[in-house]
Amino acid sequence: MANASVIRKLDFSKLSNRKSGFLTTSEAIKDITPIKWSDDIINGKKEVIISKEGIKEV
Amino acid sequence: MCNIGDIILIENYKDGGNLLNKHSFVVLDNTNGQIEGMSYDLVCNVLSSFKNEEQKKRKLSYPGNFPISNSDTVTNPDNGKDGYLKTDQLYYFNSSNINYKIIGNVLPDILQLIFDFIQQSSFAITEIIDNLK
Repeated sequence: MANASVIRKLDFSKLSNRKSGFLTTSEAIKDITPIKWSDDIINGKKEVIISKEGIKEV
Repeated sequence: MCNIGDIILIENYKDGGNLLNKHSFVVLDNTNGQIEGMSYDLVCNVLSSFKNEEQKKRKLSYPGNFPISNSDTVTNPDNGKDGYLKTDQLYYFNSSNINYKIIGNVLPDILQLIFDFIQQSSFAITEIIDNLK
């Protein structure tokens, strides 16, 4: 388990030989289902936390 | 300015166009850079939910889709939402060209899992840069 205060940043140099080209935004998001956030998230009354418990509004 | 691990909701573009309206992203990097001669300061993955169980199984069979779900159902059966991070696509943004709000963050242990997953996998990665134009 990573130390909560120290994260190893994503090393983009390790990805350079896997890049296969470009997509337009419309192509990229065509099969994405946007997450519907509650009004409390939109209004800033709550925030989203992604943890081992999944995606939660707190 | 965003921090790595922030979850952002893009509301609209300053230059018009609303393709990404209401889509949420996880910030992977916030370092200034250039790609194809264009400046960026955010690199993100898009968050997606599932339409139904059948689609969930299909989506999670793709190697680049990082699942986000409740893995602690024994002590905490009250599930959060399920979804996935599309880690095989990198979205590049210039934060001055988008209206966004920070709506939350990914906890460090999960963020590290995401980074390790991306680095240790072998799936091809595509880049989305038309939001920089």
